[in-house]
This record gives sequence, structure tokens and C-alpha cells, in this order.
Amino acid sequence: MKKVYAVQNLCLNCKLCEVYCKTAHSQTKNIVKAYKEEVPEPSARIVVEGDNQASLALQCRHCESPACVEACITGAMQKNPKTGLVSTDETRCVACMTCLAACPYGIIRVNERAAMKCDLCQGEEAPACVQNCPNRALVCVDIYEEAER
Amino acid sequence: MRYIIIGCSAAGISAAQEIRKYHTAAEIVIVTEEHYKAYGRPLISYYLKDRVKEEDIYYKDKSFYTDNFIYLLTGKRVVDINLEQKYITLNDDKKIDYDRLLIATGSKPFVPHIENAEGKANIFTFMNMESAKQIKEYAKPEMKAVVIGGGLIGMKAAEGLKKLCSSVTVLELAERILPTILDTKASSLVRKHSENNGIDIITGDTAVQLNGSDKVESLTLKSGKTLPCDILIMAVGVRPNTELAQKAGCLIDKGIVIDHKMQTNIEDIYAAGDCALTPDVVDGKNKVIALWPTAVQQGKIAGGVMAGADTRYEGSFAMNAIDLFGLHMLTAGVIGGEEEGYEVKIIINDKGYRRFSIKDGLLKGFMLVGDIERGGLYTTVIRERLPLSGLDEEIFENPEFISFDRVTKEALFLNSDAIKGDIV
Ligand SMILES: Cc1cc2nc3c(=O)[nH]c(=O)nc-3n(C[C@H](O)[C@H](O)[C@H](O)COP(=O)(O)OP(=O)(O)OC[C@H]3O[C@@H](n4cnc5c(N)ncnc54)[C@H](O)[C@@H]3O)c2cc1C
Repeated sequence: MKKVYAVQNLCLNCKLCEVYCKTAHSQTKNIVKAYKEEVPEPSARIVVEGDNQASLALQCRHCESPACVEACITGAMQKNPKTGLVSTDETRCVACMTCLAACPYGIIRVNERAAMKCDLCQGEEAPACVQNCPNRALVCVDIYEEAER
Repeated sequence: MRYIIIGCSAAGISAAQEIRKYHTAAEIVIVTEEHYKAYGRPLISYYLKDRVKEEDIYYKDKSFYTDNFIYLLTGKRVVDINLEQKYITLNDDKKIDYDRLLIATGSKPFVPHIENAEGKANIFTFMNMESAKQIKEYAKPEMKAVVIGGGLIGMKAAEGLKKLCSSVTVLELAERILPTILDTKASSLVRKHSENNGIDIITGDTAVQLNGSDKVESLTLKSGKTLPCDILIMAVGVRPNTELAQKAGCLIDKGIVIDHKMQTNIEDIYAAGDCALTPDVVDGKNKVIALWPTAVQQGKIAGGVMAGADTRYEGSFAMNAIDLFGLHMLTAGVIGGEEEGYEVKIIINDKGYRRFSIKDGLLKGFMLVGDIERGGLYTTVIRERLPLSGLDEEIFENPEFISFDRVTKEALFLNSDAIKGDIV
């Protein structure tokens, strides 16, 4: 599967990844509309933490043994055994946010409709955050598929 | 090899899944008293308020049971365990042999004695889908609903009932609602929010007598007041469902006593979930932690051990996310007051309320009401026992500082799953 990795000393703290993530997860895929018009407002699933001294973009790590999946009270959060992608079925999620409490990185975002998290931009060539990082502080790596049990 | 699991919920399903990982050929039988396949038990309040439809409560896809070759017996109660010959007996007298048995019988409602409570048609508990359906069917808009118990289940019941009945009153014996997870301040915030959403709350009082013949018509309270009532929900609390285990000879101390392998004192009998006594890794005490994620964790370990994996259970800690009328709360670890030797840090700002309990330089518990973004980072500090001396002082205001070492500013969890050399 693909995974996104961050390179701390290349991160400029510009937060463009957040902007493009939010747009990629909007209905219109239009930056201006995503920020100004859409209801419900789309959420970025990546967060730049830190300050201008040290910053870092963080999104779901698609953990091997995901705490969010264990914690999910509905069964909406699942890890795909083939691709390794951890994703939530937004139609079944009730936004109780137990996954956020359990996530070691606290990287699941609150939204009244459903828990929002990185889906690695399914269907796109590369995640929007990686494609749009101006300093290549985000890289997308194809890691070996976990050996099928 | 045949595994039998009693209880088809968080712990039972997670155990079955884990057993199947190790043993493709073993027989797995799950027995449940309920007439439903595993469903998200906490979802029953979302069902009450029409957030989730009945067909969407299920925890697993329909194909889960067939794909994993799990024989599921619904609507059957296990009434006895024969230890010598290793079989269980069902309520229809059928007997099934087992090689290894998991007791995942969960919780049962605790119903306190109240005068004149017998044989009333309008008293319900709120523990399973069946009770939720009964309530939904019975409740009418003009009814006055009363919920006895202002804990998690009582408050979630009240939230759901508000969609069905114009008047909902919560009656809590303690001086505040959600007394086991919130402190006075947090509780008063949640109370105000619930009241603003139309819930009446009475604290420091309880029902001593129910009035009416075949139906409850009113409650007489300890304070002498009378509370009119058309539908009554008993949500005082839950207790581990240990009857069957006790009868079989399992050691019970509030919950079923288990060891690091989730095994009871009887060979080949394991226990997991709400029914088990759990070591709390935060304060080292043994308790019943009746929460979904704990049940899943324990089920997973029990299933692994039963199937021969070399895993060990070290314990859990409470972790709870609640939303009530759109107000989010997150609590984990212990409340920990100053009188118990904890240093308490409180932060109140326009985003909400936060409280942290610290001991021995470690975070032992937290409570976030309102703004819960990035809250999982605090859970990490508790779980990983990260010394607070190594973290930025600002973490209490802003959890994202947890990600960085205080001195070196190195990201602590940078690509934590990566083989570092591979990327840069
Ligand atoms: C209204 C409500 C809201 C909740 N909200 C939350 C929440 O927000 N977050 C959270 O973490 N937790 C919540 N919980 C708690 C959570 O649901 C439990 O911790 C969890 O369900 C425990 O799972 P378990 O597998 O241990 O047992 P249970 O879910 O209790 O299941 C045990 C099963 O075993 C069956 N059984 C028992 N005895 C027998 C027998 N002899 N034969 C056959 N079958 C038997 C029972 O019928 C039951 O189906 C809530 C609970 C309720 C009731």
C-alpha cells in the first residue's frame, strides 16, 4: 500500500497541505467554494503541527493494529486486510468520536456528521497533500504489502 | 478443536476474529441470548433518537459469520457449564461440547429496590436493542418520561427520549450527573447544556416509592416531592453478568477474576469484556471497566491466547467519548482529586473545560468538555507513560505540542511506523 511520510526539516509550516486536503474532500473540489460556500463545511484530514521553528504535517498512519478500529462502537472504522487502508464508512459512523480518543496521534477530526480521517485520496494518483506540498516535505511511498496471513 | 464463545458482542466477536486468524480449521460457536447478531450496543440511544436505523446497528457485515465459518446461535441462553465433561447446556436443554470456552456475557442492569415497582407495564431498562425497541414503541409525544440514573446510560437514554417525549426528567442520587467520569465543574457544564436542550435534571434525590397500580403514574422522592411519570427508564448502573461463571465455579470479585492470559481459575475457561475484573494500568487497582474498547481489547487477547498465541494482557484504562446534544466530551484514566494526592490542572477558556490529573510526573487522567480536537494525544501520554518533564509545558493548552520533544524539538511520533532510513 501507499503511505505518506513527512520530512520534518523540509516542512515550511505553510499549511498548504491542509488547504488541498480540505478541497480534495469537498463536494465541489474548488478551493474557494470549499472554504466559503459548502455546507457542511468539508474538513482537512491532515494537520500541520508546531510552529515556524519546528513543524510537521501529520495524518492517519494507517497503523498495523489500529486503536481506532478497536475502539469503534459501530464497526464503521475498519482496516482493509488487503490494502491496509484504515477508513471509516461515513454512512455508518455516528461521530461519537471514540476513535479520536483512542488514536495515538489524535489525528481523526471532529465533524458532526462523521469522524473525518485520511483516506489517502482513493482513486487519485497521489494524495492531494503530497501533490501540492511546495517543498516536498511530504512523500508518498509504496511500502511492501503486509504478508497475507 | 471447538471454541465456544458465550455472548455475541464486543468481546465475543473480537475473540472469534482473533481465533480465526490463527486457526483456519477450528470450529467456532457463538451463543447469544439476544435475537440479534452483534450490534453496537451504544448505538441503541442513536436508534432511539432516529440517528441510526435498525438495519444499520450491526457491528459486522452479514457475510462476516459465513466468511469466518462462525456458527452463531441466537436466542439461546447458556444455563450451565459442565466442567468434567466439558460441555455447555442451553435453555432448550441442548448440550454442546467445547475444548475452550470464553465467557463474554457482558453487563446486566442493576435495578435497585423501590417500593411498588413490581409488575408495571411502563418500566424499562436500557441495555439492549430489545429494550430500545420497546421504549420506542411505547413512548408517545405527550408522555412525561423519567430516567432514574444520571450516568452515561441514563443521560444517553434521556437524550434519545427527548426525541420521543415532550418531557424528560433525569433523577440522579449523587450531587451531580455523570458523577463517575466528570468533576463538579464539567458536570455542571454538561447539565446546563442538557437543560438547554430540554432535559429536566434533579440531583441529590431519588425515588423511594412508585405510585400507580398496573402502570407507574408518579414517583415519590426521598425529598417528599412527587414526580408525574408515564414512562420510567431504570438506568442506575450496570453490574458484571457473572451468574453463569459463578455457578460453574469461577472466582468472582465484582467481575470474573482473570489472569494475564485472560484465563479464569478454571482451565480452558476464559473471560473477557464487561463481565471480567480488569487491572487498571493507571492506578494499579482491579476494577470493572465496562466500556466497548476495553471489551474489544480483552476479547482480542483472549481469542489469541485461546488459539495458542503467546500474548499477555497487562490491563486497560477507562477511555470514554460521549456526545450529548452535540456537546463532545472525552475522558480517560482517573479523575484523581487533590485529596488522593494528584496534582490537578484546570484550564477554562472559550473552547471549553479541561482538567488533568498528574501524579509522579505522569499524566493519569484527563477530562475534556467542548473542544476535544487532538484529544487522543493525551491518551498517548497516559498509555505510553510519557514523562511530563520531557514534554512542552504548553501541552495542557495545546495538545499538539505533545508531538515534539521539549528541548530538541524533534517530532516524537514522526512517521512512527516507518523504517526511517527508507524515506529521506
Ligand atoms: C446505552 C448504552 C450506551 C453505551 N455507550 C457506550 C459508549 O459510548 N462508549 C463505550 O465505550 N461503551 C458504552 N457502553 C458500554 C458498552 O456497550 C459495553 O462496554 C460493551 O457492550 C461490552 O461488551 P461485552 O462484549 O463485554 O458485553 P455485552 O455487550 O454486554 O454483551 C454480552 C452479551 O452476552 C449475552 N449473554 C449474557 N449471558 C448469556 C448467556 N448465559 N447465554 C447466552 N448469552 C448471554 C447478552 O445477552 C449480551 O448480548 C454503553 C452501554 C449502553 C447500554
